[in-house]
Amino acid sequence: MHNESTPSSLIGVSHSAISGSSYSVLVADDETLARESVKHLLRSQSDIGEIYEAQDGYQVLEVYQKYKPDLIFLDIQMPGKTGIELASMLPDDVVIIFATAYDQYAITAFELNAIGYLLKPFDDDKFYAALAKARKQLCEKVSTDYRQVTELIHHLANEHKSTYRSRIVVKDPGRIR
Amino acid sequence: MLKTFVNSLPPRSFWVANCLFWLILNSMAATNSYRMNLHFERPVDWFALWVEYLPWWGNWIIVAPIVIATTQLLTFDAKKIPSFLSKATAIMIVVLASYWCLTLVEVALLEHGTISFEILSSAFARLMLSPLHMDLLVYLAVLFSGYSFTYYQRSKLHAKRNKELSQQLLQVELMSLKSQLNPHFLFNTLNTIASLIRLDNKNTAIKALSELSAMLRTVLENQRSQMISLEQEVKFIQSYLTIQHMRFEHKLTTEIVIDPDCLSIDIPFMLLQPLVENAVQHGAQLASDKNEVKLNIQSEAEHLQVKLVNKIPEKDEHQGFGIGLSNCRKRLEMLYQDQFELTLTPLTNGYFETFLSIPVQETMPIQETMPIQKAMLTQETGRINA
Repeated sequence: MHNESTPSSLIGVSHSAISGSSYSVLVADDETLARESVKHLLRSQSDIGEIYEAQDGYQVLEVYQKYKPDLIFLDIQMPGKTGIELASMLPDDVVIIFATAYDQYAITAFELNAIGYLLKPFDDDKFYAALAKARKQLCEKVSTDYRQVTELIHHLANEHKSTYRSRIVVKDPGRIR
Repeated sequence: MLKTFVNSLPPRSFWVANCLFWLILNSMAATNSYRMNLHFERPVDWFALWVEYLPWWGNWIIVAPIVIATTQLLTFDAKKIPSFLSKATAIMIVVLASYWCLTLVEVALLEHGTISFEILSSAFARLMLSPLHMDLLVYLAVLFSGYSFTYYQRSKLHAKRNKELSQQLLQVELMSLKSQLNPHFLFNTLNTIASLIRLDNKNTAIKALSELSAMLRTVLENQRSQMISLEQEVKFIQSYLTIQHMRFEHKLTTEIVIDPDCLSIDIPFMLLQPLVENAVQHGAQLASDKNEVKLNIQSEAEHLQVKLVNKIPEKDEHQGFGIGLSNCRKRLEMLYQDQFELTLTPLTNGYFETFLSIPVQETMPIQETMPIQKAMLTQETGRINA
């Protein structure tokens, strides 16, 4: 969905106008120190709001269901479910940055539309570069959402006469974001 | 050309046997003739007969080694039979002609003590009356014996070479089966150290670095060896556990009990560490805290007995455990054939026992030196070879 994004400037919508002033983040890693390290790096950022934590695959799904974080830092080797399995289970529009110690999964990770791939140990610059990419993606995602809402309104207006088509939309509105 | 031919001649021991063989044949021929003469009541001297036969049977003492040398030089090739046959025939004609010439000269010299045209032509007339087909038969018999000898020698050489190669292959296989420092572990540990520094926990970071250095040093120092003392292997395991404790403090409790008498025993390097690593990884996978890993090592009746008890998840989703264990088993099979024991037994409460028993040996059958240099970090595998 976010692959066909429109630059936010064209739509003229800033991300704060729609989704508030901060992003929520989920940090998933089975190692406490690794999570602490990412949290430490995130805390200095003014646009990062809530930080959730998960130490295994099941917790990632749980936290995601409950809080719908904007961004996930995902370790690959985790108990329960691996990061790769999780990425294919989570919805397409969630922004994922993989953080892993070993790079054999890099290609799979990018096939799964991960926005970033951090190899442990990573320095601050690499971390913030990945975060910046994620921010941009989140902005575009918000713009895309906005654009799609606008498109939907147009679509509904144009198709108003056709009761057959509009009925589908009305019947299953949850499928259109 | 001449040098090659001389090199192709049979070894000295052959010459003695060859000499004896033809002299015996010569004696048998003389005896046969002697008995025939007696039968027809013609008194003859046995020794005179023996000398008379010498230009016929005795000549083979010189000619047979030459025939055998030609079998070394002219290799039979199933794809080039006509070429082989024509060459073999040419050689046969040359060798037999030389043999007959030699015989002529010898016969002439024996009978007249000198050589002249008349003497040679009368000797030639006698040669034409002798059974020439017998000479051909003898030639062929020598030729086939020569080929049998040559091919036997070659197959022995091949067998020796094959044995050497399979020995080398065994070494290489052993090296490849040897457990390697898990790259996930290495990079995760480096990340732990980076995290500790980021969180200003300097002392723990330094402790982690020193333990990791100890492990890497052991790996580097034992890159080319199969065996290590139990003491060193246990130190290696302890460093590993210290680091894993830093990473998964609440998840893990470990207990190591080792009979001090065993510490000097040599064991295959990194045989136990992967077993412990598997146990720890299983523990780290569990939802429960304080998962026990117990390692108990003692020696009994010339056997080193290792008992490892750990908890495993009911649904094992961790990848790679089977490969690690089957590598361990293959390596044990190569080193100890059937003299080892490796059993996995489920205990109660989700616990699992790995039992290993290996014979205590003074010296290992497989030596430590490796003919093949191995890079420490190979790009293809991305693993640090232990």
